Amino acid sequence: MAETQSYRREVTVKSEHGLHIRPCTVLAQSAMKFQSRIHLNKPGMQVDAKSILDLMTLAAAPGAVLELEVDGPDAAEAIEHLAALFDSGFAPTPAEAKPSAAVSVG
Amino acid sequence: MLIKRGIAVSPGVAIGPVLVLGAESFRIPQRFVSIDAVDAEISRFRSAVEAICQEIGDNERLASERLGAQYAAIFSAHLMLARDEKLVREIELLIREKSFSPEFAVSRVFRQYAKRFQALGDQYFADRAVDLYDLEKRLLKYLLGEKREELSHLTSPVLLLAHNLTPSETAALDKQFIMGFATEVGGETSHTAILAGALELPAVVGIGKFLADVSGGETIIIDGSHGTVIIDPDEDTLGKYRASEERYKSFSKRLESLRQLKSETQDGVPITLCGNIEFPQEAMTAAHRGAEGIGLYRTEFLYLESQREPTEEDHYQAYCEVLQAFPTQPVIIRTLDLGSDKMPGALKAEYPDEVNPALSVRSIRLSLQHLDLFKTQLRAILRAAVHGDLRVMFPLVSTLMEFRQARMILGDVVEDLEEQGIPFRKDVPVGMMVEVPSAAVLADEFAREVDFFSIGTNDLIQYTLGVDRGDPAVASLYRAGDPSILRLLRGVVTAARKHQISVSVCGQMSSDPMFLPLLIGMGIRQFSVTPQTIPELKEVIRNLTIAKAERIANRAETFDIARDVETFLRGELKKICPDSAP
Repeated sequence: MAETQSYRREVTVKSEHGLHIRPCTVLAQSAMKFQSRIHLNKPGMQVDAKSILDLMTLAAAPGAVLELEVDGPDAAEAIEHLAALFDSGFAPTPAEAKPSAAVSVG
Repeated sequence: MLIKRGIAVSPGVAIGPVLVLGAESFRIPQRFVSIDAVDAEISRFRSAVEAICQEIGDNERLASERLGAQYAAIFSAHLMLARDEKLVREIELLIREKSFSPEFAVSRVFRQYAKRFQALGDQYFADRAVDLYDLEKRLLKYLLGEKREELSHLTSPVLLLAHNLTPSETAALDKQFIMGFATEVGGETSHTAILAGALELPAVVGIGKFLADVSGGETIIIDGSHGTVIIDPDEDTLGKYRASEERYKSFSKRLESLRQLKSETQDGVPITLCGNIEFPQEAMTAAHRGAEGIGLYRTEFLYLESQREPTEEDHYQAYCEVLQAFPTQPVIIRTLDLGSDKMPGALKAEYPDEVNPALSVRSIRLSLQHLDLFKTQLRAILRAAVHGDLRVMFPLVSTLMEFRQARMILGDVVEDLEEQGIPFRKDVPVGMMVEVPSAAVLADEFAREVDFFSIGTNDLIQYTLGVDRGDPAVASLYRAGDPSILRLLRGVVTAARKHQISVSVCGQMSSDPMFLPLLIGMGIRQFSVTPQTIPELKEVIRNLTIAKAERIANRAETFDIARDVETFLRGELKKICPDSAP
């Protein structure tokens, strides 16, 4: 079994409208690509980042500071990838803007 | 005992235990399942999720192709919501551990999340509850849709109550066990109502909300002649209705004996009674009832029956089947008469901004905007026409330009078939429905170019009076006897006569014996009617003389309100056939 790693990092919601349905879709879609368990924490609340429904219940506004918590074999990669998503404000990745480009990603 | 009133759409009386169909209003029929059914129920839930994911995926692709990726985003969000593992786990847990039915569990979990969204104190997230309700609806529709199919596995007779029945559901009703039905929505001219008539099931539609007052298994009475549904009747009422059920049966037997008799007036003028059909399978039944042809074959079900557009072969086979029942008599095929809102799949999405379907892209307009679709149907018609007296008719023609265009396309198809050396008939008569007031007003101009008229009274009345019969709030304003309608009819008949083209009436109005003397008196000699009304109409015809009919028509045209016209006609009918329908 792969070695389990744990990472935590503070992230800021930079998308224009906060964690709306669209950023939540992108975030959950990305999180699901990793094996690790991925959570987002805010005081008194923890949600599963692979569940779009859960993410939405955060109702995180623009500027909100959240804690990203990742445990699992690919945690290091996951936390980098997801933190970068937060930093980019969940701009559509080339893969989404143009489905045909999907194969070239990575 | 509780009495509910709706619109009587198919005569007869039925008494028996009730079966309530859920769906749409989302009354969940069964909240719990037995423990040994849990695995089966979970896999039923999973296939429902798979099915709706596929549906959403299709929408996503379509939106992305037609509208752009940004519009497709909402569907990818829906897809993520539907696939949400946590959500799926929670629902499955309720089914497994609490023996909830999938419907109940889905509704429970989705509503909990929706409530949480609404409680977040942020308008945006509160509004997202709508997305959850939408998904819940899709899932329930699918889950209950499966339940609905159990209708085909009935083992004892029931009366069916539902919020709504789609035409295909109605057509699929098992006549062995379904003795009658009643629905909350629907109008006299809805396809469901028309089908109920064809199936000869007593039916009442447009009752309004009433399903909450009934529980499954209760005894009810459906009186399809008077439009009443009686829930939990008392002994007196039951006795009265049992007697009327018997009377109705013997009345039907008497009509049966009329089937072989000629349809002509006392003074020997033949009146042609053809049948209206929706499915090719109905052609044979129509022939048995004594129909002298098919005056209106509504081809819509070819489009509605499956999710794909029908192929030329689908059309061809259907038309040939009808011709087998009527090898030498006229069979009039009406080209596609659907609104884009009713079209399956892709076409519907092409008109996202459609505000009022009745006044938008439908019928001939849809055909003229989608020539591939139109030509496919026309090719099949021309090809099938070699096997009998097939004729083609365009619906909803509102201007001469439209008719000319349609006729030109038909000409193109003729050329194509000629070039390809495919057998077909070239001289197929081309007619039109007169159902938009503009066509009735300009009947004289149309009659110069058209081979025959068929007056579609359902739409003609709807458009002339501006009333949707399916809307219970205004349904009572829909009156076939309105003097404006009589005047339009008179104009159309006069124009047809002047230009020596045939004119028939194919709307619901012609299936009502009350209007028959009036229409014959106006000079109409051909009717296309719901097949099972043929014997009854024949009885009226055989008791009538042309002189008498003309006197009735002339008098009816002197009244200035619908109520007076209809009261007069009802009185005359009683005189002609003192013991008409009970």
